[in-house]
Amino acid sequence: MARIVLTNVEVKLGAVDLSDHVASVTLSSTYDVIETTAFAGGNVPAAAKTRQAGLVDNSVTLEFHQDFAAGEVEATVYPLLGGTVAMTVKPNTSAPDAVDNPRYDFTALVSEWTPLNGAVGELATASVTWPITGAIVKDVTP
Amino acid sequence: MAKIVLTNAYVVFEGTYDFSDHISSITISTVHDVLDVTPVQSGIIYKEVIAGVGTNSVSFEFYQDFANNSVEEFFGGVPPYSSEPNRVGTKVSCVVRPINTVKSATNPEYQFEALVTEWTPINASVGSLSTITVNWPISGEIIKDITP
Repeated sequence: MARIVLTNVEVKLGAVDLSDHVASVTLSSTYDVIETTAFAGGNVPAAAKTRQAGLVDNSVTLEFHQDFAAGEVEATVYPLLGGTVAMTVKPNTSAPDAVDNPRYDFTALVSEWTPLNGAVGELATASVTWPITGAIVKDVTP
Repeated sequence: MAKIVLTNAYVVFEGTYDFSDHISSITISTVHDVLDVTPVQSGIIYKEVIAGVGTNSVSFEFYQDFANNSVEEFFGGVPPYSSEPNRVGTKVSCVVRPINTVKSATNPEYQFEALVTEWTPINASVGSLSTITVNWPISGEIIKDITP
């Protein structure tokens, strides 16, 4: 077991590897919480709420370093705005898929973009949170 | 491949009013509504979504300047005492480039109409620079022009 400091994460949008232009990545799954509390129906009254999981809402949050060069961030993301893109994220891009280096595959909905964001003398960045449509597939097969 | 540090962005309003040297921060943003299209179907547990209508907006931080033809007169003019109309509550055309050189694929120009919904002509504390931070909705689309 090893704790992990993220220094070499793989982030791909379609076939384009933008790992060297991503400073932060968060992959998130949150279930709707459905309350199922009912009358106890016996001698003991209901005393605590009961719940079960509903639908999963998946999303990915990225902080990009903006780059207007051909094949880089702006040229890749801008045409996708309002559409979907197949993405992969992996903790260590140099190592094969494995139990300790799982690859996450999913389809992100490119619902927001900030082509220009920065103050004078600062790096131009773009922080986005994109909903994922459908499942996140976790692949640990080498 | 070049990451970009913003030092020389280009911001012009109404075709001729270049306030690049009075702006210290820019954010152009597009956010689409996210519509849930998850079907009612056995076995489906993941939400499926599509993009709806997009909302565009722009944020600026201006350095206030009451000089003739500068920031305050352009946005908060008081006719007939100034040569410019009061543009608060109106739409203004705006173009923004990352770098103040000719537009190109690596220096795209973003063209849009901003609705001037807010303005703070006086905003400062003692001894500090008078600045104006605004977040204006954009009416319609943002056109990305890369033709030199």
